[in-house]
Amino acid sequence: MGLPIVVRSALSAILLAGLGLVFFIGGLALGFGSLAKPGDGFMPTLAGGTLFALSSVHAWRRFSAVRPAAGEKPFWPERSSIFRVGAVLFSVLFYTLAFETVGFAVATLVLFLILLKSVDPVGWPSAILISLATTVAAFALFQVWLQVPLPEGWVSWWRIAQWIF
Amino acid sequence: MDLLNNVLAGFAVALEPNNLFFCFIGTLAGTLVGVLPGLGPLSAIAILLPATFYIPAVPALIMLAGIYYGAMYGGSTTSILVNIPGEAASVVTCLDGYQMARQGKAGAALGIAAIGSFVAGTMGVVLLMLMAPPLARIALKFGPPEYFALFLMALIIVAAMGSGDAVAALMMMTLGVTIGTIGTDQITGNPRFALNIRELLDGVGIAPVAIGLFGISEVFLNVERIVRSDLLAAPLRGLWPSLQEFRVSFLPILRGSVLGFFIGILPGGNPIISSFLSYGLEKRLSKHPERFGHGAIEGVAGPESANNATTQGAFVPLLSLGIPNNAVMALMLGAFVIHGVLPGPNLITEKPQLFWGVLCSMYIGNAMCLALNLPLVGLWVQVLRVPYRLLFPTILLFCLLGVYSLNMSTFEMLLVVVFGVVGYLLRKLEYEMAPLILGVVIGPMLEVALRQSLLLSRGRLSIFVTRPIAACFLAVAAFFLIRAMVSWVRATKPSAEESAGSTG
Amino acid sequence: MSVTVRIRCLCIALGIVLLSGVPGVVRAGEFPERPITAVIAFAPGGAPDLLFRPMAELAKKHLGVPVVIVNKPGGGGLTGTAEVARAKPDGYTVLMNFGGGEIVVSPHLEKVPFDPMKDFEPIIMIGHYPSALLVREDSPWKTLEEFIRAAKKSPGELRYSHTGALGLNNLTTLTFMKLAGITLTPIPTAGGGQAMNMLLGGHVEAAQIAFPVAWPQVHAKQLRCLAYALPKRSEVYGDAPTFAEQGFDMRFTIAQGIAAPKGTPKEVVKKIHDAFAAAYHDKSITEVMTTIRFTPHYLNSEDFTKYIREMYDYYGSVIAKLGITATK
Repeated sequence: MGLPIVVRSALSAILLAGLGLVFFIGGLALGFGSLAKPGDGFMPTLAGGTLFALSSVHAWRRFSAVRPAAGEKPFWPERSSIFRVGAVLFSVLFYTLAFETVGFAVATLVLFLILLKSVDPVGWPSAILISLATTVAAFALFQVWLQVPLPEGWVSWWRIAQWIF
Repeated sequence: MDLLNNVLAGFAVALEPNNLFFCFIGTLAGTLVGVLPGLGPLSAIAILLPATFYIPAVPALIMLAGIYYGAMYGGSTTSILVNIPGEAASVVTCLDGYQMARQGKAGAALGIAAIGSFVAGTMGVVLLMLMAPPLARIALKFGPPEYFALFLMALIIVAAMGSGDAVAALMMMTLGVTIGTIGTDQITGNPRFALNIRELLDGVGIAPVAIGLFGISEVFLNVERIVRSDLLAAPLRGLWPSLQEFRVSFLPILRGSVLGFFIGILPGGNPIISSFLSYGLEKRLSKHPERFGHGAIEGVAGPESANNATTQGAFVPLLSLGIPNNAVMALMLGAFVIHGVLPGPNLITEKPQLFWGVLCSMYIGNAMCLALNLPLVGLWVQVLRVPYRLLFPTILLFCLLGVYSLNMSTFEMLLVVVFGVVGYLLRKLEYEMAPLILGVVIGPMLEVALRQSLLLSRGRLSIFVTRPIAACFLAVAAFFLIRAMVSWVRATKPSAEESAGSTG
Repeated sequence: MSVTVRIRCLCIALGIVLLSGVPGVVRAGEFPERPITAVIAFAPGGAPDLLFRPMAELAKKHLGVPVVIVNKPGGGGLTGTAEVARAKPDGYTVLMNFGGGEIVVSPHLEKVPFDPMKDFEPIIMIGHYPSALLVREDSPWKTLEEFIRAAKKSPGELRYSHTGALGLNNLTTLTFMKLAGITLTPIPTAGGGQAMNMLLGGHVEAAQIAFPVAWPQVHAKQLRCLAYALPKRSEVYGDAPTFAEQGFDMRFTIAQGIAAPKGTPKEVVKKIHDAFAAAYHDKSITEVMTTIRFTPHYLNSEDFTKYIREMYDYYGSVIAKLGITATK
């Protein structure tokens, strides 16, 4: 995105204004009530409306303001930024969505492998070792010590741990 | 003097080796849990409470105190080191603490946080000793209009004190409040904007928002560039605050303690509010407010003291009215009830030993936290030394798992990611995160106070100006708002040359 | 590579240390294996807290696992209750303040996010306490009569705080208002403690809350009870008068018991029941109940289910007879 910062800023304000509008209308639908008996929609309407107003003012100001003379910061500092941010995003999304299906162990392993290899690549041996070690450590910390039930999925860690100990 | 006798007796109990041992265990465990993102003092207590069941009542209470303070401190630790608020009250510590860490001053930040908390705790105990019953009476004067005014004032101060665009900050604040309306209406119980998603019925939740907006977005921001080394932008400078830093922090700690304590005595007073207010106060009083947000140690000292003092202040409503402010106090209440004592106006006079025993045990927990964590500062700081490419996956994992362990909900993990992305984009566009999260946290409370006030006054808005305390807070809020708007208008005016050039 | 190696070793070491330091007990498949979450649908400090926290501690001795109390306030008790209704019926989530207004009153007045009769498995009833109307000790009304007169003179001027628009406390007041022919303005709060605070702070003129919550203040002569809703006086509540003896035939008690989501296996229910029944009979709990002015009344699962059904129908008929609708 090579848009100048002013346009980006105004665009975001417009988006936020839109969001404010959504809540404003939604609040009215829920029932604004009256000053003496505020209803469910009282606050959403007020907040959404204020957001809409503020964002609109902000956008308008941005559009009519002077372009800043100082150096424009590009949106992506490096060309490969998109790739790295995307990789991180993809891996955490995968983790979240696949967590309960594939289970804690597999998900964590995959997460680490992707992250370690994509953003700032680490050699394969190290990557695998670190992934394994972290998975074990996290399992010990969360499931065993904190007693948080982690989904088993494809690999039943608990059985393995029970079998070992 | 009777009072002194009771206090000494309380300390005698609290300082028995057996009790000290449990305190130590509690503090250590609490710190470790508190370090995990999303798991704050309440979660730590919930998780570690089972361990206290196997020991008798007095050491159990002391251990609980240790867990509580340990967890609060652990939360600050991650805020400073990796910009992940351990829990909502530590959000403010992220603002300057993390910047200090990047400048190599993590040791100073961690140290001053611990010391500030301890001093606040001490002051809290003293204030409690001297002023508990009259304080309770003052606290009762706070009704819905006062709360509304207080919350609004806090929100406006934080938005108006931001270093950037005032309107942008207000937008963030409003956005936060708007997001806070998602969930179930507090008063009627009806779902709002929940889109038929079960997990949303409880609202968006402070933990996913805080962790996403601060922790995850930080990771996104950092991976934009290849950082071959670690998080430190500057070499590590010593593990202790320098004399200069101590001097600068002295007054903020005192101010934060007093402010925090008074917020704490209000039934419903919250460490989040006091830490944000303290931050705003320190920035306002500082001779160089532009330093805030870039590693000003006052920005850590004040809020950390404030949120600890609030915990102490929370004892007042419990002990004088029998109303606990939060789950920790509710546990204390339960402990009292088991001993056949119902805390109420007569507690301090009828059962002084119990009262002081409990209080002193809280204080010992506080002291233990300091004693335990100062030596560990050197260890924590090593985390910063880990090459970032190895550190950040761990950060992400802990963020995700930390949130998952709260409610066993993958939906909340998804929320963390969503807010991480939102935070990332907003930060890239130079929006501030502090007003946003404060809005999410305070929004619901603000709304309840507002609606109750309107019900009380039957729709007459005059209620806010006829009551002195409320009017006071609102005046302060208005003052800051107007100042901010004025400077905003000036700052975003089209430049004079442009308009002159077009007419000339 | 050395840094990587160091970190690797740290991770593994940490893992081993943590694994070996485990105090947890691993039992194959038998309930309960892990801590039980007990939900109280009101803010901390209300009547349920006072009673159930000590009981939970005792119950854990019989269950072998801790019972962790979690407050989930909101919606006058509806939020927390609904959450338990939706929870997995495996016995690890239970509702502590089951039997109160959210179950037997609110459903008649509005659509609630659960079915009170079908979504729950009542386990054990512990007792009940009445709803009470309170004013400050220094207020001008010394009896219910005087209060009614003042309310008649200025309808809607007098405000009272309550614990939820659709709850039992508020129903008490609504019934009272209908029977006495007066209008008061309701101010909702999230729990008994908050409602009482409002009264103490002078923000409202009266409060309708569970008597146990108010007791310390009544005892300390800060608050005065104008009436409480039991059919006959009980010495538990001192010399405060009942509604009944002042001409208002009102019975509004908040039953308190424990329930699990429907579908929880019978053996699990029995285990929880036995643990809490044992706690109920413990001397320390009897002391607690006396201290907080709670009327003990034990019922087992079947009787409790019947009792709830009766109360549900009773309040339904009261509401229908008086034509009471929800004030929002």
